[in-house]
Amino acid sequence: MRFLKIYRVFIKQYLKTLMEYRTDFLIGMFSFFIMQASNIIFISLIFSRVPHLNGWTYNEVLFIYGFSQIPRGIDHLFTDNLWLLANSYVRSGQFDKYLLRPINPLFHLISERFQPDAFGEIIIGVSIFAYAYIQLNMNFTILQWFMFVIAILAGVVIYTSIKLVGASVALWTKRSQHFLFIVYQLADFSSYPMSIFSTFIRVILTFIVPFSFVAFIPASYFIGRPYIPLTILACVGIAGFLWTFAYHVVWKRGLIDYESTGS
Amino acid sequence: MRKLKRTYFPFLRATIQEILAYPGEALLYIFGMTIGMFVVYYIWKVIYTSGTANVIEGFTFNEMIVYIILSFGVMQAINNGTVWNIAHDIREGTIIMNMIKPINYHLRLLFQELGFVVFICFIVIFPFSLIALVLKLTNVTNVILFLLSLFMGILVGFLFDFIFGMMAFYIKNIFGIGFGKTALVRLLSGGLIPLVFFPDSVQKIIDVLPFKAMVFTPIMIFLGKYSGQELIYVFLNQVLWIIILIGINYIVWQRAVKHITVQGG
Repeated sequence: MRFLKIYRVFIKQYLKTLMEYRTDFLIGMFSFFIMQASNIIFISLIFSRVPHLNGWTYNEVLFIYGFSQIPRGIDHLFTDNLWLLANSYVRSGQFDKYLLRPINPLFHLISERFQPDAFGEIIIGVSIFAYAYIQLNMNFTILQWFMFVIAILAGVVIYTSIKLVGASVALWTKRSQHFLFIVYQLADFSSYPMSIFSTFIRVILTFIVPFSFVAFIPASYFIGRPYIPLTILACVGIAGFLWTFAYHVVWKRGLIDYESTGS
Repeated sequence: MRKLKRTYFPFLRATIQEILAYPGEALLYIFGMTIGMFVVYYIWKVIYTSGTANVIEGFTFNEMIVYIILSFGVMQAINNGTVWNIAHDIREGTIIMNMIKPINYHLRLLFQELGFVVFICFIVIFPFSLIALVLKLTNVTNVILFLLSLFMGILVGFLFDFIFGMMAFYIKNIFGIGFGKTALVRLLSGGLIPLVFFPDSVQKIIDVLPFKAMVFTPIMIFLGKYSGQELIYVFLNQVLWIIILIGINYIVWQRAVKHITVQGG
């Protein structure tokens, strides 16, 4: 409860600055919108030449792509400050501030920033998802919608956990922006059917940086072509495991070993 | 000419020295960028290996691989820090320090950027060109013409970025808009997919925009897709865009200079 109250105050402050720079907000959103749109144009152009991609139809690929952008956007909306931790907070000594306040440092760090640029991803994700949903004549039952929400939430947790691990490395190395960037880029693979990638990449995306659980694996389940059994349960399990690892093992350990740069 | 070299060459060298000071970071960055390239590669691989056609829109699979790798390299060379650098100078007010020195701001930034271009050339473009030559995917003439065209494409990209960076006078979220610009340039320049894949009507629009001259033109030259008159035409097109963009830059800069107010600097 206390966290929620504090979060509301932070967000309110942030929204004030946002209103001050309204055009910037719209431009940021529009930019991420263009990024997504260009990927969709790419998919469309490819499918204007071939009927299917390794057995996956145009609408199925769109479904996976749209699905993948929803957890990505939600994570982006709330935890964007992790990028600044990876990039500059440790080196500039700004990180010390989070350790000196009587609230959870991670919560403090994350709640300080709210990234509305992410709406560009969320809007495109939902639209493409809805379009493919209609084109594929899907008809979710209440239970399936419930599963859908669970899968999206699990996806968000997986995104955040992976980002947290990548950013936490900065607690030791002072800067981990490039490392985080590489890890985050791997998510691009999960927006497409996994079967088109080499075994090596599939193993990485399933067991090492399990981005396949944020999009392709749950999406293929909803399409009716499950890639693994007990899909949603597996997603939740992976999300829970990753969060425990990211928060309790990496982040906590990082805080213990953290040494301020003193600048 | 000698004066030009003496004045601006140090900026180029400084960028290279900066990169070489932290070579690991630069390589990690490039490595991160290759991931997007691999996604595209696997999509094409499936299309070529499972499809019935060996040639799609005039591209064999080998040519497509060359296209994917080179467009990645050229995009990296074009999409460098220019926009951020200008935004930073405007935001911090350091742009004024340039105005009181006897150096041209555009040229200074261009040489800074060229330092990064040289790095990308040595890491990606030169080694790959050599491999392509050994594998007989292209020939020496094409590579030389490609490098010439690449240089002009980079100039077009720089001049475009410079106009774009000037927006930092009016817009704060230059970080967000930079991402949008990159995505737009990648799509319309052929950095994501060869432009011949667009419907004819869209291609007609792309033909009158400057983006094609940045990525698509040099790579098509590398692949030897142009000959004789066509080759002259695409080079003239690049030259024309350089002239037009220099003109626009001149106008924008004149207006921006009058607009500048820097507190303290």
